[in-house]
Amino acid sequence: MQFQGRLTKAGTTALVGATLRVADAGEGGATLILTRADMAGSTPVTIAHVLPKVGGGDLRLRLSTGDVLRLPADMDTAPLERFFPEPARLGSWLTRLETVGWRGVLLLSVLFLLALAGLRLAIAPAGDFLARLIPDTLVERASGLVLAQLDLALLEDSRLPDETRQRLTGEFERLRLLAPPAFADTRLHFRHAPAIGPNAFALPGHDIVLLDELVTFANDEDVVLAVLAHEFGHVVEQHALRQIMRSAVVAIAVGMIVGADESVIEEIVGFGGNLVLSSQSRAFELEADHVSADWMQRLGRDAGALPRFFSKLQQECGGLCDGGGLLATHPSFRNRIEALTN
Amino acid sequence: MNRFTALEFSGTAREFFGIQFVNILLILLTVGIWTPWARVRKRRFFHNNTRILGDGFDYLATGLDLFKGWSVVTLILIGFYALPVLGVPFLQEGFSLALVAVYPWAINRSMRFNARNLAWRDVRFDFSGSYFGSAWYLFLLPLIGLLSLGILLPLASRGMREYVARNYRFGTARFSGKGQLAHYYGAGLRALLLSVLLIGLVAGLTILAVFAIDGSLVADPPTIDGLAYILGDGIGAAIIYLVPVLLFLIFLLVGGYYRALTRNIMVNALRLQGGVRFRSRVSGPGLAWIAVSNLVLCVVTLGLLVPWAQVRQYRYLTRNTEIRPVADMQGFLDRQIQAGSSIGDAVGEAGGLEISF
Repeated sequence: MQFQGRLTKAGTTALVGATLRVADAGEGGATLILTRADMAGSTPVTIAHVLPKVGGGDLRLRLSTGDVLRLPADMDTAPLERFFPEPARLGSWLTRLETVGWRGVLLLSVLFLLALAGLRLAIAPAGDFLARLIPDTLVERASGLVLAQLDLALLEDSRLPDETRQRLTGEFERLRLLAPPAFADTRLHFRHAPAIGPNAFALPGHDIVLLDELVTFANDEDVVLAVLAHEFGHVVEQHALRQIMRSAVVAIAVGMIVGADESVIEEIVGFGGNLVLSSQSRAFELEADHVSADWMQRLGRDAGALPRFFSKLQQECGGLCDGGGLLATHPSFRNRIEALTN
Repeated sequence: MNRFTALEFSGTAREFFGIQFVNILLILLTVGIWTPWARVRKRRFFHNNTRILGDGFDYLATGLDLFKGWSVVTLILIGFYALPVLGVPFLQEGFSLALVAVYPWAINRSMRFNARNLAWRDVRFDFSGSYFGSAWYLFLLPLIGLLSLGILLPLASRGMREYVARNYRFGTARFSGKGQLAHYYGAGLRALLLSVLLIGLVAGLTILAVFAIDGSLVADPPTIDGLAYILGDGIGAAIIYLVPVLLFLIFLLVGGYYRALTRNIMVNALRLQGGVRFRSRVSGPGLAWIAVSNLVLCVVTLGLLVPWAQVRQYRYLTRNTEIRPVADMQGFLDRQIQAGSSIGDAVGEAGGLEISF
């Protein structure tokens, strides 16, 4: 068996033709013999190092003489493999795996899409699992840090009259009594933020922030209580933490599957992941709306307050800020009102 | 043999499909640990199939070499993201600044690592940039170029390309490349004219389309109602969403065009000690077209065509690069040096930066 290639002398670009041949049984067998075009006779050699073929590239063998022998890509070099040093065999195995026909490409495409589908299904359970692993003290600390940063950048001290604040705190107490014992320490923070507008939000820990603008805009204690109950729903269901963990799962998974490649594909898959995350965030909102309606009823308060608030918001901005859509974190007001009235 | 001959690329998109799919599968199976090995196979595919006088380049680094650098950088990054847990304000920001200072060093190490692991026949390349050289030519000067609204950008392009060239070696032979600044400014001017032309075209079409909706809109100052009206209209919504996409495509197109022109200038001025010369015949519109059509096809096929697009662009570049060899390129000698660690390479990867020669 003969393998004809090009020999580069060690450490140079000087080239000679050379032939590698497996010795016959008579010559001792199982050894390799090198014959160089620029020298008479031949010498026994071993293979010291192999750079396996990748795609249409050549096979590069470093021989025991220090010289480099390159065998052309289209040559069948499988019979040489038993002379390779051990680690190189994995490389040859990979090369065979990579040499796929069109049918293989099709199969691999299907596998790839299945992996993406699997990832889509795994986001929620994996994220929720991670969320359970995070110790409460850490969450509380992070929550406090987020609030401190918001205070630094966006939020100001509340300007509501003391009396209003006391009344709202009293109302909030009644919500705390309804909450499971683990969440009975949930705190209400009053803040002023003209840049944000009428809003309230729940932080990853046991913190709820109520903005003055919401209190003045709603001008209705039942509505404010319903919104606080909605945010309390987020706290009890740990929506913020779970959402953070789910997006971490997406970021890590996207980085792992397609991040090895500097290209647009990471952006595309990442965009897909964001679509899934937003739809899950919208589900969280409906869940919190539901908690709000339930608690309002248990308190004997107006269960229609939240839908009333949504339609007021909707009217104020002339239908422009209805929200919703594939990328929105909140469902549209219309959907939320529908879900609440059913 | 003293004639210019084109570089050859012997790889095919199908081969690269196989490589990338196996890479992705193994990365999935090993929860990401395979990534450095995948990176090596990808680099080897492109280098190995790039041939001069029939011989391909060899990428000698192993997955394990890269893995060592990767693990160090991964540990540092985990530490970095865990910093806020400590609760010290601005600690992460301070740490980011320190990372910026490390970057020129990392880029040097990365280019040296990759050069020393790249061989043609049995002679390896080398890169010998300095910390301040890289900081100036690869970071500060391009930044100044951008801040000067592009007026100094051709100067920065020349500085960057020539800095890389004169610090590269092939064995004991040095590279050099001194292009004329006027040529770089010529390229900049042509890119500017192209972008003015394309942006003007988009602006003209937008104005026409707005008139088509309602002529009065242009006269009145835009109001919320007006905006709602435009959004409610099919053409209006299309304009609002389409214009940014078009501008992005123009940016991509002009970028590709400019890079092609400066690449030609640099490669044409490039010399390798011993009399070897190079020539680049990349056409600006050609490369720009490949960049834009690749992007569109990759987006439409949800990324499935990415390997094909990469091979297409790479093949175009190699086929339009020519070398005038000397004496069959037989007389070069290796310097017998160690490749060093891959930490810089991993830092460069983490920052998403890849500067190639």
